[in-house]
Amino acid sequence: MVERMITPILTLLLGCAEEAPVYGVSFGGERLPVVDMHLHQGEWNLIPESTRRFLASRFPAPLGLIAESTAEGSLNAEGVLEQLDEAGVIQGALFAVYAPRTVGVATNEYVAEQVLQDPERLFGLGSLRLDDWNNDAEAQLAGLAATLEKPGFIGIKLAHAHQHVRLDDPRFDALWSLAAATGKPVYLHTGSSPFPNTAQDAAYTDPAYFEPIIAAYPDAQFILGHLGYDFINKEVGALDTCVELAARYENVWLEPSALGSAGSDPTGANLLTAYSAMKGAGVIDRVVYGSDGPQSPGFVAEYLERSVAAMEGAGYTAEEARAVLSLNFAAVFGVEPAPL
Amino acid sequence: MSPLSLLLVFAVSAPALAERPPPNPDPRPMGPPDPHLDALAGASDLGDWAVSLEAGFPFFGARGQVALPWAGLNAVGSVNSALFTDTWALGGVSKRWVDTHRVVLSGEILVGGTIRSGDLSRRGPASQTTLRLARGHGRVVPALTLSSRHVLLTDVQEIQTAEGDVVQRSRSIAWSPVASFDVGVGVCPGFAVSAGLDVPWFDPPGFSLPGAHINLIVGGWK
Repeated sequence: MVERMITPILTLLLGCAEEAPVYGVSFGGERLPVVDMHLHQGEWNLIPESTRRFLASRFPAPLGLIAESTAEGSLNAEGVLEQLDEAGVIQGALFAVYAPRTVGVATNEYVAEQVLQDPERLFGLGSLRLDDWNNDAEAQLAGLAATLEKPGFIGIKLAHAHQHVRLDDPRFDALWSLAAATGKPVYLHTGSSPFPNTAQDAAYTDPAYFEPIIAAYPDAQFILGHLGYDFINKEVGALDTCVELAARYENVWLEPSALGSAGSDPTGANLLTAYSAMKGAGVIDRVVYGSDGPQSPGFVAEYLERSVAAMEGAGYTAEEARAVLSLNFAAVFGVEPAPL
Repeated sequence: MSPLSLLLVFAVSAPALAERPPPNPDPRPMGPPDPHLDALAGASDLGDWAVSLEAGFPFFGARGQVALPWAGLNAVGSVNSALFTDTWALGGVSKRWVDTHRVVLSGEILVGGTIRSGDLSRRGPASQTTLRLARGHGRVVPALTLSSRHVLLTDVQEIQTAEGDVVQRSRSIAWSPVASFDVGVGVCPGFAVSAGLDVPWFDPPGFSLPGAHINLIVGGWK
């Protein structure tokens, strides 16, 4: 009698319990692991007021009225991991950011703390300030070098447009040398940006301006984020330039994050164009998946879904998709391939 | 700018006023007050008053009305806040336009001010135009409310030039409509509760989440 009562109760309780996450995505009849190389976290109050307003206005009302508390839930490692679980993403990389006049600041120290929340699943990309380079270059480089020594830090994150420095600025030789010497790839934001106060001129957004540095530092690995997308006009922007650079330089990698979001590419046509162009140029072995999440609840999962659809539409094989979704991440950052 | 909101009420067909005195040839209802009918209808009968306290997501607020001895008008005061961040304090008048004792249609015009804190902060003089349709159905009163809220915003831009600071002002009007559907139930004379759904539209054309609330309503007559 007791057993008869316990069984349905257990069934009810277990049925109500949270389901264990299922990792990976189905592609071409196979289950593929996924690593998201582009994730943000940080502290709301370190974002400039104009950008906080911009972000708050994009939250579903009335959540924008309480933007800080709304954002807090997704801006720490716990929130990021929840989104990764929901999307079936096994690993992700968190970005440090030093762009106090545009998108704000997420310090190396903060990222290091977040990475330690789950070092098996989270990696970090360190960064540094560039806005007073003439005076504090040595200190900034020393800080970055120390960060790259910390557990889980696998690369360097830069965003010239957000940090207000030209892509062809000749002052950063020591930075490229550090990247080459440490073997830590450099992620670069390319293309325009919807964030207030971004430097939108071509010298800050067009990766063609970065070619001399790519050519001068063949031992440094450069990842061109967003494929030069024009987020203002929702057009492919400098996609062709990015693909050509990857075709001509072995040390150029491509990362198609954010451009294919529902807001930036409502029909999905531009993301399809991007994946088709990369396949057509034969550079799939240097395409690294990223979302630019978490942005809003469900974004990481939705972006992965849209990206898989774009790869299917562009005729990717399962092995090509596997390379994009996980193997290329391991290759460029020198880490173990993600488990499923 | 939005058109003035329209109000529709769907009356519930059922024997009404079972607990009320027989219909009076005078269109004005008689007998004990129905504070929930009055509050949800937006205007009280002559000599009556009603106060409601609202709690829910996203709105919290309080509203009071008292019948005035002129032209069937009610004096109305309202304080309403979304998540204690977007607060509107308004006062004005309401009037029953249609009153068949079972169906009440009223209109309301309030003016005052609004202040919003947080990252989307704003403030300015505000107005609210509301249409309400309610049906007295014994102890149960369904009601539909449509409100059109406007706030006059003044943007100030200060430009520092070599010749001195230049201050530029521009004005705009922001619109925030809200639709609500309530069902009120009389608990005892002078006391009622209601529950309802809200469909607000903050800062159109952006998407807004729907909400829900409960009201505690008290009322009486002089």
